[in-house]
Amino acid sequence: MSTPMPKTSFAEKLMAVPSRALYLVLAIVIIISVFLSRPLPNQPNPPAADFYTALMKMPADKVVAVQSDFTNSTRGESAGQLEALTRILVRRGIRFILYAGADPQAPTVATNIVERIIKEEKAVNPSLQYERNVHWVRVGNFTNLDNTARLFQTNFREAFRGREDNGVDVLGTPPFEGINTINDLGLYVNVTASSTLDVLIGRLQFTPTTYDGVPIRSKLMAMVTGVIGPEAVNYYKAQQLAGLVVGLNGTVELETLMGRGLEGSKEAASANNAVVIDGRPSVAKLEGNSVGRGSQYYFALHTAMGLLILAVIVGNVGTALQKSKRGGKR
Amino acid sequence: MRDFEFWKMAVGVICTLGLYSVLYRETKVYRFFEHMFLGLAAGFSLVALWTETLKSVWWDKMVGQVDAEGKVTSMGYPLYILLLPIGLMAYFVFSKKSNWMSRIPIGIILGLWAGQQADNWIKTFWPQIYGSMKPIVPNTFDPIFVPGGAANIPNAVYVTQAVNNVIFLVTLLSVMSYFFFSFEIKSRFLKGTTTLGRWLLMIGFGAIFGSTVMTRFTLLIDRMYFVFIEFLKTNFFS
Repeated sequence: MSTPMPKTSFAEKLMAVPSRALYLVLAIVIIISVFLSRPLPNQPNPPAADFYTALMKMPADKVVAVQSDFTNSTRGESAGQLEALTRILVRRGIRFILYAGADPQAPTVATNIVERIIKEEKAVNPSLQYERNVHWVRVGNFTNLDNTARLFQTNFREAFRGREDNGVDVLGTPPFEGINTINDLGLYVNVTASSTLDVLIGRLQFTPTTYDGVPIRSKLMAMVTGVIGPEAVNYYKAQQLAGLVVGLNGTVELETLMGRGLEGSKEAASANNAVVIDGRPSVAKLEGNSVGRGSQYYFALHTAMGLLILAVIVGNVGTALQKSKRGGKR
Repeated sequence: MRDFEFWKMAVGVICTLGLYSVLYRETKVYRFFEHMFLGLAAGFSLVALWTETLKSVWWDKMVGQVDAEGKVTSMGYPLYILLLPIGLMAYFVFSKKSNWMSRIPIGIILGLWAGQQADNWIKTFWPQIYGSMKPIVPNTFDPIFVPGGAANIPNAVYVTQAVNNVIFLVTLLSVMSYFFFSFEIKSRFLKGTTTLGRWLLMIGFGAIFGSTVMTRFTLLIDRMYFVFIEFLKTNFFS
C-alpha cells in the first residue's frame, strides 16, 4: 500500500510557483503590452521641465556638446533619451558635437541612433538641411575621462586637436567655429548609464548665463538611467545641473513637453493644452511628432510593474498564511 | 527577396532569444551566444580603442600628419614613443620577478588622480552642503501653499515649503547621526535619531531598488519590442 501524498496547502502552493513560470508570465504580459501600447497620462516634473526649457530657450546659433556614454546594455532607457534630445536639436537646427568618455563602443551606438533620427526627420521634412560634419560632428571616444574632463575645463579646443570624423579635422568643422573654452558652448548634455556624470560634476564649472530671460545656473545637463537617477537628483537639487531626465519616465516627460509645451499657470495653459508647472516660464511645443521610444514603452512598463506588485502581494500572502498555520512562529 | 537590413535584424532576434534561453536553463545554445557576444564585444572594443582613441591621441601626434599633396600639416613629436614602454610596464603585473615595474604606470595614474581630488571634492560636495542649508521658519502665512505665477513672491518661505525643509533637515541629520561609529552611543536622543536614520535609509534604498527594477524591465521591454514589433510585425504583418 503506497503512502498517501501529504496535502499541499494553498499557502505552500503560492510560495512554490516556479521562477520559470514567473518569467514566462512576465514575457507574455510584456509582449501583449507592446502590441496593445496606448498613451498614458503623464505630468512632467521640474527636472525634465528645466531640461526642456534650457534646450528650447537656448539661441539656435549656440553649439551643444553631447557626451553619450551608454552602450546597448542600457538601450531601453538611454536610446529613447538620446532620440528625444536629437529630435529637439535637429528640429531647432542647433549644431552639436558628439563624443563619449567611457566605452569605445559608445560613439558607434550613439552615431547609429543620431543618423537614424536625422533620416526619420528628413523623411517627414524633405527640405530639412542637417548634415554630418556641417551641423553635427562625431569625435569618438576619450579614455581616462578624469584627465580629459580636466582638459575640457582648462582648454576645451585642445582636447579635440588631431581628432577626425570621416577624414575631416573636427576642429575645422562648423560646430567648432568660435568654440575655444567650455563656456563658449550653449549647453553640455551627458547621456549616461554610469558614473561619468560624477566625473563631469567634479571637474567642469560653467559660468551662469541667461537664455531668453531664463537663468541657466550651470550649462551641464544630464540624461541618466533609473539606476543612477537617485544620485543624480542630488546634483540637480544642489543646482549643479540645469536639467535632468531620469529613466524611461523622464523620457516620457520630455516627449510630453515636446508635444504640449510648458506654461507657468493654468490660465495660460487653457488655450493650448500645455503642461502646467507653477511659476515656470512659457515654453513652446516642438512642431512635429513627439511620440518616441519612451511613450511606446510606457504602457508595457506599467503592466510589468503591476505584475511585479501582484507577485509581491502573492508572496507576502503566502508567507503570512504559512506563518499563521505554524501558529505565528517563523 | 529580403534585403540586408532584414537579415541583420533576424540575426539580432536569434541572438536575443539565444541569450534569453538562459532563463529556462544554461544550455549549449546559451553558451554559444554568450561566447559569441563576449568575443564580438572584446574584438569591437579593441579595434575601437585604436580607431577612436589611440590613433588620434597618440599615433598621429607622434608621427605627424601630411595632407593629400604630401605637405606637412602638423609636425610629429617623437617623444610620444616614451608613452609606449610606460604603458607596457603595466603588463609586468603577470611576472613574479618584475612585477614591481607595473607599479610605475599605476603610480603615475594614481598621482594624477589624487592631485585632482581636493578640487573635485569642493566642486562636487560644496554646492550640496550649501544647498542643504534651507530655511525652516516661514516668513509668510498668506497663502499657506506656494502660489503659482506672478503671485509667488521671490525669497518668500511659505508654510508648506518650511514643512518640506524641516523634513529634509530631520532626514539629513538623522541619517548622518547613523554614521557615528567612533564612539558608543548612550544618549537616548542619539539612539532615537540613529534608529530613525536607519529607517529613512531603508526607505531610500527601497526607492533606489524600485528605480533599478524599472531600468531592468525597460531593457526587457526594449528587447521584446525589437523582436515582436520592429522585426515580426514590421516584416510580416504590415
